[in-house]
Amino acid sequence: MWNEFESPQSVQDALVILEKHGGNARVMGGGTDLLMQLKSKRQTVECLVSTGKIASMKEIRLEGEKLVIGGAACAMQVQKDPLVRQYVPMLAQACAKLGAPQIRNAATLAGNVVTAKPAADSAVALTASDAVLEILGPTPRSIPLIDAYAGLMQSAVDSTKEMVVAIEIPLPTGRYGSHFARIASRRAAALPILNAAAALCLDDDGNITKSRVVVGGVGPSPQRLYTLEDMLQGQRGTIDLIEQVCGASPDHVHPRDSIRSSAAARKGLLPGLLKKCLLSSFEMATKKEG
Amino acid sequence: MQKIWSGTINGKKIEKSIEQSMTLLHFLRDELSLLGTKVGCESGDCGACAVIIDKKLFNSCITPAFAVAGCEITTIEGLSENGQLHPIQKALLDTGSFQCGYCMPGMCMALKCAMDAAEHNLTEEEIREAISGNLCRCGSYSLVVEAISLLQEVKKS
Repeated sequence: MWNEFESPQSVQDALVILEKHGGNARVMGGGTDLLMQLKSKRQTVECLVSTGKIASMKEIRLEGEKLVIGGAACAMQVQKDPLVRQYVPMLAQACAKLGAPQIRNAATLAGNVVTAKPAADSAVALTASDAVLEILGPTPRSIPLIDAYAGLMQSAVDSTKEMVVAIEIPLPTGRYGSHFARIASRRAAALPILNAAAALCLDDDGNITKSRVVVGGVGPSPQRLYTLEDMLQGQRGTIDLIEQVCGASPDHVHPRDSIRSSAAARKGLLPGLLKKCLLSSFEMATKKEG
Repeated sequence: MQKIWSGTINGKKIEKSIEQSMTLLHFLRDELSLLGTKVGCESGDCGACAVIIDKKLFNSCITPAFAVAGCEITTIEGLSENGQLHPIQKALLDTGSFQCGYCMPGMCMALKCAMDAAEHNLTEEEIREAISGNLCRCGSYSLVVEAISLLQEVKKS
C-alpha cells in the first residue's frame, strides 16, 4: 500500500519529494505493475510520486543524431508516434503488442524497463535499439539498456531516489531495417513465452554493417545474442545466411522451465521467431535507398 | 492520509476528501456509489473496471484516484442520455450479446472509447482489438463483434 500520493509538475519537484522521504517514496509511471505489487501488500511505501503530470517527460523529439523519448511517454503514445515508426519501427511494434489498450494508455516506456520483467516487450526492442537511459537523481547518469538490470526482477535504477527522465536512441544510418515479434498464449494481455527484436544495417553492396539480435524470455533480462550478431556482421546479407543463423540460435540461449513454457519449447520456437524478425528487417533494409 | 480530490465525473464537478491510498475503482464505488464499474480481478487483467479518462480507456483498479485528479472521467453511468440507453448499450442488448453481464460495463466503455476515437467504421479486427483487454467468461466476444458491426451498418444507412 501507499499512504500519500504526489503528482509533481516538474522533474525537480519530483526529486525534492523523493529526497524528503529518504528512501520511503517510489517513482510511479503508469503504475500498471507497481500497483499490483503494492496492493498485494508485498510492499508498502510512504509516498508514490507519479510522473504523469510532468509535461516535459512526455515529449518524443529528435535531438541531433538521437531520438529522445520522455520517461513518462506511454506505450500507446510511442506506438503511434511518427518519429518512432520512421526510425525505430520495432519499438512501435513492441509497444503495440504490450498488454491491452487500457494498459498501453497507462504503462510508460521507462516503467516497462524499470519494473525489470524478464521479457518486457518494449525493453527487448529498446535493447536492440542501443537505447540509453537518462537518469536524474543524487548522481545523474546514463546507462545503456543492456546494463539496466541488476538481477531477476531487479532494476539498476533505484526508484526511491532517482528517475528515468528520458530514453535516448541513436538514429540508425543507411539502409536500416528492424522488426519485433512475440509468441504468447493469447494475442492480448498475456506475457510472452518468447519475444525477439532484430535490427540490420546494410551498406550499398548489401553487406551487413551492423546487426542486433535480442531475445526475451530466455534469461532474467533481454539477452543480446552476440554470437549470432557476429555471424551476420560483415557478411553479405542473404536469406541463406539468415536461415543458418536462426538454425544455430537454440545453442546460444539458456532458458528455464516456467509456468508459461518449458525450456525445450522455448528453444524449439526460437529459430522460427528469429527468422521472422531477421527476414523482415532484411527486407525492410534492402528496400531502403543508401 | 486524506486529501481533497477534485475532478469531473460523468459531467459533474466532484470535490471530496478521500484517502490518498484509494484506487479510482474504490473511489467510484465506495465513495460515490457508482456501482456500475465492476470489481473483477483487481490486477488490471480483466477490464471489468474500465472507465474513460480524458477520452482514453484505463483500468480503474490499478489507477490511484489521485493520479487522475482534475481529469474528466466517464463511467457506465455516464453513457445514457435523458434516461435513454446509449446506442452501444442498445445494440448489445438487441443482439443478446451477454449472459451474466458482469463484463458489460467495461466492454461498453472500451467500445465507446474506440468508436469515438476512430474516424471510420471499425473493422472486425479493430473491434476485437478494442475489447482485447476485456475478459468475458461467458464467451460473448463474437456476439459483441456482431452487435457493433450491425450498429455501424445502421448508422451508415
